[in-house]
Amino acid sequence: MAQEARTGARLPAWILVPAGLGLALLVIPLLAMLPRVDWARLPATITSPAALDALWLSVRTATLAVLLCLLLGVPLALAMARARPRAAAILRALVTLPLVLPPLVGGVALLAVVGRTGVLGRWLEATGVSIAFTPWAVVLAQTFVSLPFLVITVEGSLRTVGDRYQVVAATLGARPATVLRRVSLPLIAPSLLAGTVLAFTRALGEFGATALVAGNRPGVTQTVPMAIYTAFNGAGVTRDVALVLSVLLVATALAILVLVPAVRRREAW
Amino acid sequence: MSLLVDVTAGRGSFTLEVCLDVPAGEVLAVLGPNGSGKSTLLDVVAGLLAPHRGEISWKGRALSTATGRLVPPSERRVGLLGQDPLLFPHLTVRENVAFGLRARGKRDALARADGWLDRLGVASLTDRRPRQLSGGQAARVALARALAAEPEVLLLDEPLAALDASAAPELRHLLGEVLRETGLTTVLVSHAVLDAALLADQVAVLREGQVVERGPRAEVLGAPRTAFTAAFVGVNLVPAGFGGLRPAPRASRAKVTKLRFRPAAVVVSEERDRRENSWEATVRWLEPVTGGVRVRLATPDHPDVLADVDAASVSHLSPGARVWAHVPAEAVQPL
Repeated sequence: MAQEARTGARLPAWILVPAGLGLALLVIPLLAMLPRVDWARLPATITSPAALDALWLSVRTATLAVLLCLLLGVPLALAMARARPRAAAILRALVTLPLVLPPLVGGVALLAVVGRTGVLGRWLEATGVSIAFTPWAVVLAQTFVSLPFLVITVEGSLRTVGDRYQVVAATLGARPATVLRRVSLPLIAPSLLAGTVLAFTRALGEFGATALVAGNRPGVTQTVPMAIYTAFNGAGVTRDVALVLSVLLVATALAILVLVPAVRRREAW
Repeated sequence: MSLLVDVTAGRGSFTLEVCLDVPAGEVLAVLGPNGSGKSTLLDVVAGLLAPHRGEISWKGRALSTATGRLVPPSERRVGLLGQDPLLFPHLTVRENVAFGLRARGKRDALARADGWLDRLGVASLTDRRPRQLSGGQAARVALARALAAEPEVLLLDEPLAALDASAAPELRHLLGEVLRETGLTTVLVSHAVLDAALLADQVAVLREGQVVERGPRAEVLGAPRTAFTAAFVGVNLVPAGFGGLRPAPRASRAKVTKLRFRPAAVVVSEERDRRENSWEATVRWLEPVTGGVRVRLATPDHPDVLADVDAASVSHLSPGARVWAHVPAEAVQPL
């Protein structure tokens, strides 16, 4: 339904100038990539071994990272939603920190844990296991940067829903595990989906932390963003591939942004 | 064999201190204004709030002990139905009603849910989602869900308060029928006297966390002992001798200590009323009642008297106005 603004509520006309400029700043660079893509060779470019390796690694690691986010993030969000206001505020600040930190700093921090001389890495090294500069490090970096998206989204939703339905479920004879499975989780399903998708998108695009803790070995730790960066530095994949991969990432993100609200609206009670 | 509640409980600075028992199969109505502790009482019995001290037991089975052992809400078999139906939005009506049975692993949960929906006259709604229901329909489904979980004690927290004027009477009637048929031990909390009058066997009146009156329905509603209860249930209760009132003659020779009369029996006039049973009073304030206006009249050193007057005749009844009140002797009951 279109809403007609009442005459008195009109914006001054000049507002449209900076508004339009802002929009252009966001959209034009993305559109500017398109003419530079060699569309005729696109199928060949995208199926080149270097591109496929990077794509396949990105999909695998991002999927694993999202699973980890769900496994750890949902319980964390549930605990936060039940915490007293003071504790919840502290937890929320801690969880949000990786979101506002430069990912590079996250990489440095992760190295301090799983690097060869890190607090955990040193101990792992002794048992012959290493995480840094393996695909596991990619997953770790992606989880580190994606987890806040999932936790914040889910916790917000839990707070909105409140605990009234859970209380009713308990008086109907449902034990805590049943309440969680049959009431709490279904109630937040739309936000859980949104959080998962956001986390996946963030994991796919992760670059900074990955670069430091996982490196850039083709076929081992070279994800799509790493491949794009390498191409523009004149090594590994060509610029053509880099452009196509970039367009692919934009298209994926766009599809997700359009589809998720549609699904959420359909599920809204 | 009854529900025993002897606890002190509270939230923040509010303290509830009650000792109540409800014989098995009876309905206790707990009346009181907002903030008197009615909901706190229900929360404690349902196990949602831990009492500071005291005990709760049902048929000898401890639900909450003096040593602080609490049976969790899911194990109490105490159902709770509030004014918000709180149907699970992601489940259909049938799944909502089957919830309690399924939670306890009953295989025929859905069939039994259908039985309850049929019994409460909402069988046609089984496959709907809660958001597709009207307020009255949702209230019926919520009642079906509470009953289908097979509680041994049912707690009702103003179950009719949120319903519109057309849906409430129907559901009140249905609730009375179901409570009689099932013989469920029930605690009904309400600020509406009508709920107590139609549904309860026993009535307790709660004021600021304390039970101020307690007894069989007819006694508490018909002949309240305290001025607070009288005002709450909407009858006038004055000491014998008030305003020179003479009651209707009565057979018993017992000493008359109190007089009771309904607000509707009081006539308020601007001019001096020279009839018997008239007295001078000051208008304290006006408040709305169904079908008219209730005037609160102040008399020095006596409890306020309520008078129901016609809405068309209130123009001269501003607060502070001096008026004359009159009650015909046949309307005054000696107690």
